[in-house]
Amino acid sequence: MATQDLVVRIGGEGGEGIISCGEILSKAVVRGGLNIHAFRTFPAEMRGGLAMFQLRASDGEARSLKQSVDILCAVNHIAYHTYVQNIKSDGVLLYDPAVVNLDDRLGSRRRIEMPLEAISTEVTGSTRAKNMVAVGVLLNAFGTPVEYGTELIREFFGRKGDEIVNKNIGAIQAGYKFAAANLHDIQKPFQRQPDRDQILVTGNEAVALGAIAAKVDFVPGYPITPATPVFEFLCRELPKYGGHAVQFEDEIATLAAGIGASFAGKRVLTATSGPGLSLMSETLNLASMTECPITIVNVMRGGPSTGLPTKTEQSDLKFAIYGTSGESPRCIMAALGIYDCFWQTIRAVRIAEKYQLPVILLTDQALAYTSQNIPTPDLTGVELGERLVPQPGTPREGFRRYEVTDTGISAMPIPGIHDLPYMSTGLEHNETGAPNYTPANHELMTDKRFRKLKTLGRRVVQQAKVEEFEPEEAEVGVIGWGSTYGAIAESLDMIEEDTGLRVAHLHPRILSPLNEWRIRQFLGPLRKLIVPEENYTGQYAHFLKAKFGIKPIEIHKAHGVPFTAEELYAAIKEEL
Amino acid sequence: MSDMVLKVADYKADLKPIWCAGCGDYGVITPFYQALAEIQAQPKDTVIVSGIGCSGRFPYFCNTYGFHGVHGRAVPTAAGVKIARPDLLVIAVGGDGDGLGIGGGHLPHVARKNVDLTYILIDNSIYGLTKGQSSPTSPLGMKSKTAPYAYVEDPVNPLLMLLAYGASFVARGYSGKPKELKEMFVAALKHKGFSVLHIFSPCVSMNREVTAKTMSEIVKPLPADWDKSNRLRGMEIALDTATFWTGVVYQERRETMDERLAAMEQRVGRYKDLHELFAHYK
Repeated sequence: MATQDLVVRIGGEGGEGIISCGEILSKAVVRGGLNIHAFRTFPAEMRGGLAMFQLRASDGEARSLKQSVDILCAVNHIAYHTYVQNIKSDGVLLYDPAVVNLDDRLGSRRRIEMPLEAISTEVTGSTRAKNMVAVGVLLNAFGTPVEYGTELIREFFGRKGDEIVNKNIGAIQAGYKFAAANLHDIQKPFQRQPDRDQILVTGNEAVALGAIAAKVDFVPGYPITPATPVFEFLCRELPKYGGHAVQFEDEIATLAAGIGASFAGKRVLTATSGPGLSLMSETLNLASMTECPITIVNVMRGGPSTGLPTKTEQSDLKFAIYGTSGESPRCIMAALGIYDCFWQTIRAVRIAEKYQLPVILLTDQALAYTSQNIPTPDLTGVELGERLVPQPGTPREGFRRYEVTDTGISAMPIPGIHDLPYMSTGLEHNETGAPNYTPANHELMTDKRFRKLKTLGRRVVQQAKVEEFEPEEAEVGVIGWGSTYGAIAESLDMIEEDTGLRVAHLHPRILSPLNEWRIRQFLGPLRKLIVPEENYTGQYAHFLKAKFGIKPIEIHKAHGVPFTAEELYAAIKEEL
Repeated sequence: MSDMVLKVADYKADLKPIWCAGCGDYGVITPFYQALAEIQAQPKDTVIVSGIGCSGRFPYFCNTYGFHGVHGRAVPTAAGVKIARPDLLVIAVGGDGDGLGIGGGHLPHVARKNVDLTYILIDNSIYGLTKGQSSPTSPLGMKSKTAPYAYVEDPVNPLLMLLAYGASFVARGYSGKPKELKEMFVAALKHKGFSVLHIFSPCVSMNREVTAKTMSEIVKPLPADWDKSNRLRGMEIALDTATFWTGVVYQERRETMDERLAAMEQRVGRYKDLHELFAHYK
């Protein structure tokens, strides 16, 4: 049987509880046995402006956002005004007639009056619980039993006392009842699996959980949208695992302190966004030069400059790969989904530790603020990666911290643990760490540092774990990176369903060092390559063009919002 | 090594200092070695972090762990070492350009965090390594390569700043008074909390205006009965720019960053595994 999907968008005034409505609803729907993809946007203001929460639930994979919705729940007039055109032709508008004035853009779409404020007042004595009435209405639309919602109210508000709990439960039940009477025919025949071992997290939360799983024990940070929740999470949870998360005065001090802690033997991670990464660029070079492991999660937002802090964009790739002076080896990765945020964070820390270099893991605002249910991670047998340290009994005499080895990796003594004091410096240095500017030494040591990247590249090929769909008969292929994975994969399924043509898809997670062998193999049989990116200039496409001398068809979107599967479907289909 | 008594020579690296002949920094590093020997610092447990400038070469000449970072970031780098590893003895070294110019923004924050490290701020009122440009402590009217017609800016007052920022140990010294410096180093290294030594060290090559000669006329030790607990009095002598008072100006015992973090961890308690955390997201 085909999978079933239902997409609901709730829009209202920021501060009115739209987001908490969405969060409770999401959790209840997941516990009720469906898969979800939930996306939210915030107004820039603390209160006021339009807040939006979109929840897609499916009994198949809910891989991406959807452009058009089955139900628009307009809590205020601006939400109606802004989103009315996104309602499918057979979709429904739920609106509060007290605040929404309909116009002819609604066309013949179905509309249902949903007096949220009146129901809330009737049940609780005030309009404040209207978001909970909406939770009840939408639980019914998803066919999720109301108990999943009321149970969450007890969990969320239990500490606030019975009165609050009962009012909110009353509001949910009233909403549920209203929907049962007025929109029972919206429900889909979902196949539910309510007893799965799953967690519901955002991309930011998955990164932070990944950091704890990776046994990161020092997290310096500076608040920056949209990466702040990663740092806040670790400030709250890391002390419970014996680590420290410490706020510094800026991103320069943040990375400097991180390098200090790394030099002292800690596993260090920090999360930032474009402007913060810019400030870190000099210190990033220092980490590369002194070979101190460090992981930077860069949650991309719209740029340049202050740009669009609350919107998404894939525009820091070139800066991550090439930014900063000189040529300093670092590894650049991108997570392609929520579950992946967890695992790629662990992998990033592992690579940083093993190869003693900075790793930049790219995520973006869309991943950061999207929540999905994922299997509760099982860490059995997962390699966390240990730093190479000197053998016990290594003599001080003649010890070379930066010894040139086949892999480029050399043993790193830890202060207080190894009796091998050495000098670590941002100046070009020889194998012992002493400054040395001779041509032969600069060449030798540059090669030593880059050799680590080559070693990493070789091992990545051997592991060759890239998300891919690669039917042999495909003549057209798509290469994407980062958060576009779900929308691309879904668009290609739509194309196949529609035309019977299969399009190949490669989505590398390690972007630099480039997995040249793998990409060449992928390009081999293709007649046409399409590279969609959420930026204006086609940054990854540039990289591919420079490396392989190819001319891909580039699809750029720099709107501050993610690609939808429908958009990519239309754009890719045109090229077939 | 740890059961042997370490001598001054044990703290000297094989690499000998390469500063200009007559540089004040020799008068800083010698008493520093002596102080390390006096407190019997273990080289294995000691980290010296420096910034960029002539004084940034300091750790190369010490037989300890050394980290020579980027310009202006010695203090936050050292703070990272210490917060991560409270068991280590951590020292940061840098000049007036490094610590008061490019890196000046970090000082109030490490001071209020009261990170338990010693910061040696070696001041020569000039950029020496880049051969003679004005620095944040160059006096008004001083000529330099970037002030060929005399400096039109007023200098900062490092002592006044450090006292205002709340550094829990503030001392001022002069490279021409190494005995006094050694005692100050010992006191600073033993101090629990952020200790700063502002040390004037004349640059014989690039600074023709603030010299050993001009300094010798204004350097004066604080009176023997100086009250180190009086911050306001300390600010008064900082404002007395006619005299360069030396000695431990201010000292207080305040909880350090690592003490507060340790206490916080105690309060918070521990999770036994990741599943306790995952449970919140189910």
